Amino acid sequence: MRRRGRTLSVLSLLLAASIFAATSSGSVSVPARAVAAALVDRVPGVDLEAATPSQRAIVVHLRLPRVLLAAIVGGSLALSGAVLQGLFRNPMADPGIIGISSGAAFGAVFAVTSGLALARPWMLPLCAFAVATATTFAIYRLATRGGRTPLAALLLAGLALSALLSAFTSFLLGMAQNVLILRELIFWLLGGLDGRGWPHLRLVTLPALAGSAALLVFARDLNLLAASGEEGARSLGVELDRLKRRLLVITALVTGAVVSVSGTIGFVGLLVPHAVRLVAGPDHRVLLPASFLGGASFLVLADLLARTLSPTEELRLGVVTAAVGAPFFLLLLQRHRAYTEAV
Amino acid sequence: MKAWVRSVVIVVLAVASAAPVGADPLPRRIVSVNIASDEILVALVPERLIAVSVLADDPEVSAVVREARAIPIRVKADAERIVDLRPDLVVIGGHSFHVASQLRHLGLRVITIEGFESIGWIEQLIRTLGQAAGAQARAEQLLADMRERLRTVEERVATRPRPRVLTYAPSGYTDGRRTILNDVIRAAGGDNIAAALGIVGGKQISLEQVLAADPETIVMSASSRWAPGFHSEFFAHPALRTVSAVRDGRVHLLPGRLMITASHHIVETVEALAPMLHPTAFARAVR
Amino acid sequence: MERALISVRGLRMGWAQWPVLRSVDLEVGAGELVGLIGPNGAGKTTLLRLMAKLLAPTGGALWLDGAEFAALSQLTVARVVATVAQATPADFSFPVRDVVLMGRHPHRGRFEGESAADDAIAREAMTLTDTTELARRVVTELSAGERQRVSLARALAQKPRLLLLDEPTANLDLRYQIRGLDCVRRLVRETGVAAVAALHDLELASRYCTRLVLMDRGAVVADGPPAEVLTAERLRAVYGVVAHVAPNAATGGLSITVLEAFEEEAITM
Repeated sequence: MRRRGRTLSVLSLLLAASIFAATSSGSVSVPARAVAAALVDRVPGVDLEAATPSQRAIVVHLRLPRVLLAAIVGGSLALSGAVLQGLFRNPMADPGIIGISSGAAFGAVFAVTSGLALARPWMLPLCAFAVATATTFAIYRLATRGGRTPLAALLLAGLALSALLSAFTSFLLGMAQNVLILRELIFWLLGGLDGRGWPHLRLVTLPALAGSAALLVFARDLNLLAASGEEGARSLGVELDRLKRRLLVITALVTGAVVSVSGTIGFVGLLVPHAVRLVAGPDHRVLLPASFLGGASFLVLADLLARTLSPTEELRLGVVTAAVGAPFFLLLLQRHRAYTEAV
Repeated sequence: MKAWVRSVVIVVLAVASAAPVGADPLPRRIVSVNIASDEILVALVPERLIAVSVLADDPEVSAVVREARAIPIRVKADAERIVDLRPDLVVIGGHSFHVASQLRHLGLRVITIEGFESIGWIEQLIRTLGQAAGAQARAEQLLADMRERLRTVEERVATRPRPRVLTYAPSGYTDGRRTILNDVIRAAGGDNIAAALGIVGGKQISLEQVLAADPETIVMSASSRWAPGFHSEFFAHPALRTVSAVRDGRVHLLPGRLMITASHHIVETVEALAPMLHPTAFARAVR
Repeated sequence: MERALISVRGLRMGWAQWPVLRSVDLEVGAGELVGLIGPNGAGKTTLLRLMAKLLAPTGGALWLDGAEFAALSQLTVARVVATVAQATPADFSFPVRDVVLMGRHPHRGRFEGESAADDAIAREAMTLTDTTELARRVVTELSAGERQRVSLARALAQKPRLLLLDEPTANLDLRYQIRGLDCVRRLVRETGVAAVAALHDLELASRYCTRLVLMDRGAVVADGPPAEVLTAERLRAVYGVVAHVAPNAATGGLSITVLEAFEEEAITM
């Protein structure tokens, strides 16, 4: 219990520090004092003189919403990954497994190449979200028979539908003639938060945070599922098919909402829960909130790298997370092999 | 509605949505983030232009390398950098809509450039930028100069038969109707094959279509930076050797900056292309 | 006669081409330790899973304490019935203490934490199953036998009125086999819990169970005290062996010596 509190406190501090570090850095150098002043100025009644109007504009209107968005996206993706890993009892599960990534990608590419997004820019996140959630519902429907939803069927349906949607997406991309549009789309598919500001944050915050809070409630059920398997959990009173349905729906809504704004970002949902599990153990009562906090910090720092690593070009966020994620997995594999060979 | 009128509407709407209504104070810190506006603004208001895009210094892309030396700062589509310059007018390309909308949210006056459809569109752009920058008189002068030079070329080629011309770029991209190069071909006394084939905008054309159309003249960019080997591959291609333009040695390379310019410098493109299409009409140099 | 804790009428499971259970009738009351015996494929595991509401039957019905199963929620059943499965997965490294505490889940509200009472119950369950020294260890490091004992501890922590055990002695050393069954028998005698255990060791079954239910190919062929159920003829008909059955004064159960095993055709007569 005490250890749980300690882990979460440390992660919260890490998140706060990351947010401050990310808000202090960018292509224009703003001294820390000015950053602090600009942030504190938001509080009504406080008025520090340390920041110029353009510095204030940069920190509060350009950097802050983007950093907060990175935190919410990273936290939601990591939490969803942890939930799905527990639900599928498969440490390789991540939000892509329920078709979110391929659905959102298709929705976004369709919105742009069909011209819908040209007329109304908000069509892009809307289409991404709509297709992403529709895909999960389709997968659920395909895998459910007689009130039961076997996990193997969900996995297979997910694979099949993702492959189909990827094919359609590639088709649309190949048909695109405008090189600039193609570039925009590829950037979206590689993930990124460039140009995202307060309007995007307003769009995403409520569904992402409400959904994440709802997921946290199922920590105990996930513990039962992880420790005892499907039948064991049922014998302890868990209404398994209802649980699966609820978790799938909420995860789809949360992930769909954030991916519609950030594009498809890989590795966060997969590797953050792993890292947290290594440190804090498999108890979902710690694992879930810790994954959210860890994922939030991770993406805030990854976005910081994406913005500041190269002076000429902004790196794609999905590239940064993959570049960090792949070596980490190799490391995990090494440790696991060493362990199994020693035993 | 005529294409250029529609593009005018686009440009004007962009301005109207950003500019405050009423008497506009003269902008003193103008930032240009697009090569087309770089070229125009450096001609209209060099004294009040504080930044141009990073492309302005590249001779393969920019027609104003020399003039740009007088402008102190280089900028790209980076919202933070732009805000830090405290501009009172920002001109940016339509494809950077994220940055544009962020800047507008912060209350900055932003003009987005979209369309690139015709020489008439360029004229409208010059007029719009002249108005926004408070340099209407200079803009009108620039336009008058443009028209004069275009008319000179037109007089020389007016009665001549129009050769069939095709522009060709890496990956088989050509310029059809509603492109600036389409107007350039017309003004230089040629007939754009891509437009005749019904192609609209910058689209790909298959080798089969090229062979079937059998252009008399092919125009390509001399710049090979983004597709090295494109020229040698083109000339080595066995099927292309049978095309009239290739057989008769009428494949012309124009400097890259002239192929992509969307400013008043387009006149130079016309002046460079016309003698290539009608060598006898320009036995004596145009200027 | 006391009303049965759990009763089963005409229970059927499976389809025409593949019947697993063919019309089973059974009643188990408080304070009974019933041994479920029969060869592999007789339907013992299926019957236990149906009694734990882990499966829904294709025909017939079950009643728990007079209430029809179909109308009961999984949670309601879990408050009364605890199951010890044949094999327990161990993919995630939970500490043993936490796993045993999970047995308290059916009795806790959604937002309630662990109470001191829950802790005490879990500790008691671990004492009864000799798993106290395993408390801080992690389930992924345990042997199959140790995991089996932890499973039993978790089931006991549920404080069930009906305990269902599927081959509880399968992976255990002799010592733990005896101690485990001793524990269950004591529980049944002292607290009135009803227990149904599927066992393959007929001698152990005869020793610990007051009543045996012999199943063969999806049907109940005998139901009664061990001496009446485990006769030489029954063993020949159901198991296809010639065996000598005699009372064992030392254990109180039966002593079964297999003399000869028939070939495939002989059994089907």
